[in-house]
Amino acid sequence: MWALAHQIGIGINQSAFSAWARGLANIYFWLIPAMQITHLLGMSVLMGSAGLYGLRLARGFDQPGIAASAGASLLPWIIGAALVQSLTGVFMVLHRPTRAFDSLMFLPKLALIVLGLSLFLVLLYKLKRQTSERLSVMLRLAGASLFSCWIAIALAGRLISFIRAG
Amino acid sequence: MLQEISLQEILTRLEDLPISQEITDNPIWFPVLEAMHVVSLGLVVGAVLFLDLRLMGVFARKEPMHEAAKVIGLIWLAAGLAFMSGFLMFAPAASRYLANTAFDLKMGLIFLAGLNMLVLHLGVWRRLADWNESAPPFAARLAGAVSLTLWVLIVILGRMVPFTQ
Repeated sequence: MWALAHQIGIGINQSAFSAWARGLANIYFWLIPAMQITHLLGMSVLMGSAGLYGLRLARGFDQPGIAASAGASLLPWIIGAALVQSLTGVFMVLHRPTRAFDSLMFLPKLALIVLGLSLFLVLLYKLKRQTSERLSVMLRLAGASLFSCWIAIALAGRLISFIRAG
Repeated sequence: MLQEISLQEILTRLEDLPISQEITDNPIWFPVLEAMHVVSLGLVVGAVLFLDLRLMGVFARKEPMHEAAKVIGLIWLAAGLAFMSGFLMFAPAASRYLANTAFDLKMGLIFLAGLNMLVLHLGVWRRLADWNESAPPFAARLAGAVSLTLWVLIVILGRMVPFTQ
C-alpha cells in the first residue's frame, strides 16, 4: 500500500499541476507560510466546532433541545473551514507530493477527516430527530468519538513531516 | 548591563538542564512536543474563537452564555498542555528563541490575551446573570473582538517563528 502511495506521490510530482504549484511558491516566497497559517487556522476552527461539539455532547447539555440547534449553527463554519482546508491542503500536497504520500500519517489523516465530518453529520441528523429529554448513552459515546477523531486528525497532520514510510 | 548578564545566565542554565539535554539528544522528543503543542494550541484557539464570537453576539445568540462557557475548563487544560510543551521546546534553545522577533511578539500577545481575559472576568463576567440569555453588553463584545484578534495573531506569529530571525 505504501509503495503505491509512493508511486502516486511521484506521479503527482511529475504532473503539470505540481510544477505550477512549485513555480508559484518560487515566485511568491510567502505563499507556503501563508498556506500553512491558513491551514492551521482552519484546523483550529474545525477543532473548535466539530471537535468541541463532540466533547460537549459527551458531557451532556443542560438543555438537550439546545444540542441540535448548537450543532446546526456550527454547520456553516464546518463547511467553510473544510473548504479552506481542502484548498490549502491540495496546494501544499501539489507543492511537495512525496512529502505527503511518503508519510505514514497522510492517508490515515484523510480517512479520519472523512470519518470526522460524516460522524458530525450523522450526529446532527440523529439529534434533530431526538424526542427524549436526555441524550442517550450512545449519542454521548458518539460525541466522545467525534472529539477523539478531531484530536487524532490534528495529531496525524502535525506528524506528517516526521513519520515516514520505509 | 547587569540585567542582560542575568538574563543570559538564566537562558544558559535553562539550556543546560538535564531535560534540555535529553530533548536535544533524543530525536523523538521534538516531534512529540511539537505535535502536542500544535494540537493543544489548536484546541485553545478553536474553543476561544467560538466563545469570542458568542461574546461578540455574532454566533449562537440563542444559546445561553453559561452553556457556551462550559468549554472554559477545557481551554485551561489545553492551555496548560500548550505551555508545558512550549516550554520544553523553548528550554533547549532558549537564547535562540528569545532572539527571534516572531517568538517575542507571540509571547507579548499571549500576555495581552491573558490580561484581556482577566479584565473580562473581573468586570462584565461578574454580571453574567444579567445578559446570560440576551445580547452581550459592549464591554463583553469588545473583549471578544480583542481576544479573537489576539489569538489569530498568536497563531500567525507562532507559525512564523521558524521563518524569522
